[in-house]
Amino acid sequence: MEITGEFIAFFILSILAICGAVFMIFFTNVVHMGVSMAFTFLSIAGIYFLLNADFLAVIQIMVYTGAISILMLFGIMMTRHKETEEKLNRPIHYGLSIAGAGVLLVSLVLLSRGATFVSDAVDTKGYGIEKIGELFFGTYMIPFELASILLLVALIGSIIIAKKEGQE
Amino acid sequence: MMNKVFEQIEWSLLTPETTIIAGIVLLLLTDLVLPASISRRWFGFIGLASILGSLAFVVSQLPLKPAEILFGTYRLDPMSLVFKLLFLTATALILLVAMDRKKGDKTDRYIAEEYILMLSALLGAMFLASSVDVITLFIGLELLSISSYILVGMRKHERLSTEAGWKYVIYGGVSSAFFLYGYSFLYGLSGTTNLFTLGQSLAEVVQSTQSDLFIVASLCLMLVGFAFKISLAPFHMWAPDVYQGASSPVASFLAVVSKAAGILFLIRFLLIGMYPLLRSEVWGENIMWALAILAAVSMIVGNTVALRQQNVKRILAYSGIAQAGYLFIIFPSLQSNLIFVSVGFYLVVYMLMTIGAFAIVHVVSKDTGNEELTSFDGLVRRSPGLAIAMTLFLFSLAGIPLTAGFIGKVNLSLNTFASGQMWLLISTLLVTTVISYYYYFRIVQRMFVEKATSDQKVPISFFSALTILVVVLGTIGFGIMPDLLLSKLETVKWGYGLIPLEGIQQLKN
Amino acid sequence: MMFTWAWVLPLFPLIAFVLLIALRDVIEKRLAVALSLIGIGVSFGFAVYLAWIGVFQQSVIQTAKYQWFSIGGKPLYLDFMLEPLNIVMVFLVSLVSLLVQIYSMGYMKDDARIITFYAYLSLFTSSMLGLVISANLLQIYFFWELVGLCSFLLVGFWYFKPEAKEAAKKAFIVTRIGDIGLLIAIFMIFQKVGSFDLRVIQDAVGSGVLTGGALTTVAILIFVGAVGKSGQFPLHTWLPDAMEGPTPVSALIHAATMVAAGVYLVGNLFFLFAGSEVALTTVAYIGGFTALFAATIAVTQNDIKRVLAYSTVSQLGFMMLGMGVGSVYASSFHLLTHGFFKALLFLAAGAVIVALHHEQDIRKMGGLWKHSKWLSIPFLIGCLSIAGIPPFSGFFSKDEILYAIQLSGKKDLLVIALLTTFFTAFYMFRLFYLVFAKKSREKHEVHSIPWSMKVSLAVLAVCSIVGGFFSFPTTNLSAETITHITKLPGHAPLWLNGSAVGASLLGILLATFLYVWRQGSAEGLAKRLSWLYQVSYRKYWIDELYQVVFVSSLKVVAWFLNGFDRFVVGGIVRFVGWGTMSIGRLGSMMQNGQNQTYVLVSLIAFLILFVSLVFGRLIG
Repeated sequence: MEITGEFIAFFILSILAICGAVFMIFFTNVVHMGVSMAFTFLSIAGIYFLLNADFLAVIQIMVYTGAISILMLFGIMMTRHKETEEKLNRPIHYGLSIAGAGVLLVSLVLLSRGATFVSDAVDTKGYGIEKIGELFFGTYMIPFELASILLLVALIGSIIIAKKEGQE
Repeated sequence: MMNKVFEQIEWSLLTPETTIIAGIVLLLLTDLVLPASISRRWFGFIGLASILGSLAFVVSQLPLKPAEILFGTYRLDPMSLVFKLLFLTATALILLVAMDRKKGDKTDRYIAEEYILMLSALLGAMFLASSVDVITLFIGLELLSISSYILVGMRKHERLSTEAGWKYVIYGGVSSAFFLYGYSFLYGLSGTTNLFTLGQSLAEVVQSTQSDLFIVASLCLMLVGFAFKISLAPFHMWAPDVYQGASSPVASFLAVVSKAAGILFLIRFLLIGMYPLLRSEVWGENIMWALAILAAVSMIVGNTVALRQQNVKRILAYSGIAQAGYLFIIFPSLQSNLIFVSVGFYLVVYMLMTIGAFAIVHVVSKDTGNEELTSFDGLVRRSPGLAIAMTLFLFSLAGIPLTAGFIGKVNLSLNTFASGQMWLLISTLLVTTVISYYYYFRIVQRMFVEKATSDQKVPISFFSALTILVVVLGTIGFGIMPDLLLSKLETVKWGYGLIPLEGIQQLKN
Repeated sequence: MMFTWAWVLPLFPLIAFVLLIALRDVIEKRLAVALSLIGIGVSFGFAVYLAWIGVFQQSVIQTAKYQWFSIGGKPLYLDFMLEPLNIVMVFLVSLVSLLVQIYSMGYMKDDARIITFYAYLSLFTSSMLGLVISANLLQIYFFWELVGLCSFLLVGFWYFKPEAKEAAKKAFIVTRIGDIGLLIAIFMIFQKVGSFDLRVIQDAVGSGVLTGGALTTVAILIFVGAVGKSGQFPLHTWLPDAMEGPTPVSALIHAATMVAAGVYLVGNLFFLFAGSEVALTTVAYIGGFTALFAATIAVTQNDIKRVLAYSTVSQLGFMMLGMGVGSVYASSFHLLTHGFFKALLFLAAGAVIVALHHEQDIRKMGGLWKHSKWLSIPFLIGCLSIAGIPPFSGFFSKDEILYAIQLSGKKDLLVIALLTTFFTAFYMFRLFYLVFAKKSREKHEVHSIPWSMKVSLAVLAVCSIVGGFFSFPTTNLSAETITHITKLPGHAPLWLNGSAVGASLLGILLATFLYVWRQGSAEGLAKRLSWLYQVSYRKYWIDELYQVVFVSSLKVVAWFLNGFDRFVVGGIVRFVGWGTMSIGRLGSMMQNGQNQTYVLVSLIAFLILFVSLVFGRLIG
């Protein structure tokens, strides 16, 4: 495999994404968790850039890294939460999960190494915002509209869940 | 170019779905406009009206020939119509049960939302039924799931409900992740979301690389998502907790609509998108057996664990897992065309008996305040009609002759039998059925043998009674005269749901 | 002739059942009983009519069929058959049911739930009638299950007794094990032949579609179903326990309905067995073993109903033995006469139990002979009949079976059959003497028995006496029939008759010797025998010898078999139950309420799936 700048960038970004996710799970401080999650989002946006999906990358930064992470941090700061979280001690769970993830990783790596891809690399240069718009309001209009109902439902649901009992 | 496409679209095909959307909007607006002091108990009728309207549209669409909108993101074919009929009927019956509420029920605050969510879940299932495009399929599935998550968790005054909702979200999220991860491989190979194109390009891939490993791998991943929806063991573990936490109508919705939607999704995905796999050797050698084992494990786990339960809803949840296993015995022998009739028949029967059983659990638990087995003590002396109806549903679930469940089970096993060498599976079915008698009879025994805790009649509203009457008639009617339904299902052109439109036109010529 | 009304036979009791269940809170008891009696009475009327046409006028009865539903485009018919075997079964079932219902008017009159009881009885009769006229395997299975369900309801009728509850459950589950065999057989036949229709299947067997190993497997699996229903070894354990139900139910189960179903099924599907020597031999030996095995156990039982229960198991084994040596004629004949005298014995036993205030231990009974001729004479007739003493009905049918065995040339089975005859006579008369002959050890005030019970007893007693004189109807060879019933060629040789009666008499003699002659007080015995003290002494010595040689060794065998029954067979049953429960326990242990565990379980399950489907092929 040829080592190019793109490969190095991909390597660093994916390491960052994975580390962010892992730290998010293992940190005990909520703020730290939020920050490490933001790192993951950010690195994924970087990968999008590498794939020439500029629009998606920007959206990723704006929505996930910006809005969602910040919103979460706000939420954490404005609510009370236990500083000292009890550390759960479940060695069997940890062991099995890590072993399972390991097996999955090994088989996936073996799988992708052994596979032969037929399709040539697609030139993604032309894939911009225009194309996305066309797809959304053309081919995928029905699922797009359906997604709006999905969001509406999610909104209703979060209101129900978040509303305090006994409050009108 | 796009404008021309739009002009050609027959938007009228979407009428059943738009009717449901109209119902949702109407409910939302009425809830907003109406002063808080006015009771919202009659809101169910708005929901019911939109379901019935939609049902009428679907029925009027029955004679239409298969059609697609926007490259299969919406599709009308016999298979989707039949499943939509099933979803709509089931939801209508469940809604009737849900309208039977206790006075001053704590969830009355969210009554409009409850109906909206039921409708939106139904909407998701309906879109799922009428699509051969993975994006619509998936968004439909997610709409169904997210609405269900909230429906399960919305009884906030009950700890169990919150817990159940939470578990359901997490488990559902994990399963969706598995599904998407699996599909991402396929997308990488084919670059398409349309199932027909997917099937073709996968066939090309298999041809040129001589390897179907990626397809098998993604099938494994996606199977987690499907198995979660269908509640197949060992991906079933959410089901008992969630059913227990949810209200009975919601639980029956999950058991019936959600499961049927998952099965339809799986059928379409396997038979259209993955058909190259069905033809390959690996299917007969490996995958068939893997599916068979899933079915067997479901039957065993569902039926044995149910033996130890004390909560009727949990028993029904495990029974539902076992029923999913019974249904799934058909999948290893997918090549046969007969399977649709038996799957369709079993789904209808399963819908009837499950809704019936949960309706009675709803009515009884409304009176006693819990769903423990003890709630059913001496029910026959309090409300003999309810006790006899419940016995009928349990017998049907157990597959005892004279009930529709028996015919359904026989039909399933015969078709499995006729098409494959699935001895082991049939034996498991029979043995676990015997085991299942034990716990079904335990409930019957409670109702007929134990002393009643009170001598009051169990109060029941007109709507619940209506639902129970309908499903009783169905369970007995299809048990004695199954041809009423079977002959209809046999005339359905199921195959049209599995081939592209051009193929159908060629067939007709 | 054409008889399109076959389907009404089970209909009337069914209507009675529905009415009784629906109206049980408003209807008066007498009216309910009358309704039920009318239902079964009408069916009985039809049965008599059919018997007149089909048996006495020897005409072939055609029936109509109706489409029921279709599986995969193959239509499935509701199909009936009224061949001689079916007609006889219809007659037997409706007659015994009618009598049992009449009898129950007296027996159950104080029971608060008598209406429910009658409703169940009606349903039971209805499903049995449906079973014996069905000409379609799925339909047969349908009614087969219903019969099992009804017996569950009736055995557990007194559910407040824990034993009854357990017994009902056991009856249901154990017979279900047999049903799995039957169902698999049905599926196999459908797979091979593509139809459930008995006529089509018969053609398929004839034309060689279903032959060889497949036929043998199918036949044996069907026999497994019959083993469960008819209480053959090793699935017989439910039958004695089923005695916990009310006695009329026991009579119905043992004489005409539940257990008869298994023998009937083998007879009706005999064309499947006829083509397979292995299957026939299996049937013969299991039947023979059960016959002897149950007879020896009956010797040591002390509960009056349990003795009769084991006797039923034994007699059913006898019938299976007859089927196994190829004679449907002999076995069906015995099924018929057994139906009469076993119903008689059970109903008489029920009357005894009522008369003695629900005492069932025969060691505490005695001396009833003087008290009630209404009890003792029918019971004696039943005993003589089952023991096979001419001219009672049991003699004739038993003789036919023995003759069939002799014709088949299986000497070992003949010995088994004769031994069974001996034991049967012995334990029945032991029972008879203990209940009726000796003086009562405990003082009982004897109840009088109501007229309804007397009527039933009288009718059955008459049937038991004269039943043997009618020869069993045979099929018209020119007509196309599913079950061919032909008489055995010629007559049984005299030595066979002689040895059968001899074995019975020997059994009776031994019983008399042990339970009557020795029974007299020591003084009486001494007085009577004073003129030959030595002889009497020696007699005593012989008596002891008898005690050792016959009774003790017998008891050892019986205890051994009983122990086998309880520990080995019961142990297997318990093990299966334990295994099931352990899987359940494991499953619910993992269901610990923690979502992490759930997800982990599904992750591991996924990995197993993934690795087995993908990883293995990656490496290999």
